[in-house]
Amino acid sequence: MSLRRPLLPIAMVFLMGWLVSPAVAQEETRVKARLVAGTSTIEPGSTFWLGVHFEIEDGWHIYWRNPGGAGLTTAIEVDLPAGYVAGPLQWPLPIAFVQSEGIPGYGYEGSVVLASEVTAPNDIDRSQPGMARAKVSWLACKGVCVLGSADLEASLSKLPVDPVFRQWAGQLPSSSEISDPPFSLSATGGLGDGVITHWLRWTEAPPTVEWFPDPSDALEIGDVRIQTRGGLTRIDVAVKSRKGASGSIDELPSLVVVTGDDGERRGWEMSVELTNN
Amino acid sequence: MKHVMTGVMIVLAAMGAVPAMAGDGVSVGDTAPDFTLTDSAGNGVSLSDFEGKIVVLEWLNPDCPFVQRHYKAGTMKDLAAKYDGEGVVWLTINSTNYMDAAANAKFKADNSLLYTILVDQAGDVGHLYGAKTTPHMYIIDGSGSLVYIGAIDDDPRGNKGAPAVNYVAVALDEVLAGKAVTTAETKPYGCSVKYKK
Repeated sequence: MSLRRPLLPIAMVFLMGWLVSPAVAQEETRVKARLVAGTSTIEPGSTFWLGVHFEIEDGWHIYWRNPGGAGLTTAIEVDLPAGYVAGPLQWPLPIAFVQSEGIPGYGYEGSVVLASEVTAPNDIDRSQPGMARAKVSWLACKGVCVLGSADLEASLSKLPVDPVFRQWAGQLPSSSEISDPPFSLSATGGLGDGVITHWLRWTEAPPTVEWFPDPSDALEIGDVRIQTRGGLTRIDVAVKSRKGASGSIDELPSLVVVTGDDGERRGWEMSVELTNN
Repeated sequence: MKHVMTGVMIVLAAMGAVPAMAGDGVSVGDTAPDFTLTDSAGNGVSLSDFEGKIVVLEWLNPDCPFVQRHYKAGTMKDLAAKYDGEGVVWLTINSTNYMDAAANAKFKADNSLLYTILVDQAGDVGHLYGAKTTPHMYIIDGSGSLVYIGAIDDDPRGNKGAPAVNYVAVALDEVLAGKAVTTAETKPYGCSVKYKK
């Protein structure tokens, strides 16, 4: 088992690109999406955030990289001029909700920015800055569900700055390389048992602990039960492999999110090995 | 590590029962549980009426955009027609809490469907099978065993075009050829089943 850096495996799933553009409203859906950036002016060789700001109508939600038992992962495909390199899509900490009786869901309400870090080429032609384009698609649900999509674009010479990026990194899972998690992780059980239990031993146990499994074609996640007593949190996860499905069944990557006494949420990526015992 | 594990086992005993196996409902290899529902015309239909036949179960919600996309494309209708000639029975089940026989009859008529839509407003059969999404597909072989559970295809966004793999068609071909189903379980996609609360 290990704590891992955020997002590396997940990133591969998504074709990221990003770019900027004035907002393209999706009035017919329940979500508005606009291209946003952390800076308006790009310096040669610099890195900058480029993403999509979703504004979600009250009571509706869109989905995290793992939508849960139903739903659809929000997707962004970025198209940038040659020389620009977009990193993996970064997902702020999701919330959990019940989609229907017994069917968990993971996603976002209100507003959220999904973004990636873009590296500019060293030889930017100021006379021909080019365009950043993004194809965005999502499923919004509130009892009923509505598919939405948007084609966004903006000139790389004048990106629309979103002030959300000033604190946005604080909404992302913490990297264990930068910040040691406040718990040690062990695991018992496995696929043979149908249940794997994560044990989180805290230096100081938080009031609330949430757990979000990464998306997997090969693993079916069932009931999840979380209990914290003293300095130990136990997360029981019913899990089985899907017969003949593609994907790894060697490990179960996930995100643990804690809420402190001050109401602040923090998250850490982690992963446990799956055995057949 | 040894110290940690010792502590873990003690707390394990103290913290109570472990959860049930993943995926409430049925699994591939199980005998498909019998059920009786009424169809959109009010006739009683039981799974056991089709003993010895290959049966496809399709979970439906006409309000779900994934379902709407597949009905617009003719995915289910064409598949049911293709395999009808092979003796395959297609049963569509609607566990949407607010859709009664009349709503299902209208959908059947609007889409000129020849196959049966079963009304499951209470959600009993949906829960019995563990249906989570619309669509959610199940295949039962001639011996009454579940041989496929999962998505209709590998194209949740509907943008793959020809390269998309229809898991149900592949599985039916294997069953009809007397082969074991290679891809027997996949992750279903779609809207959550709108169960009665």
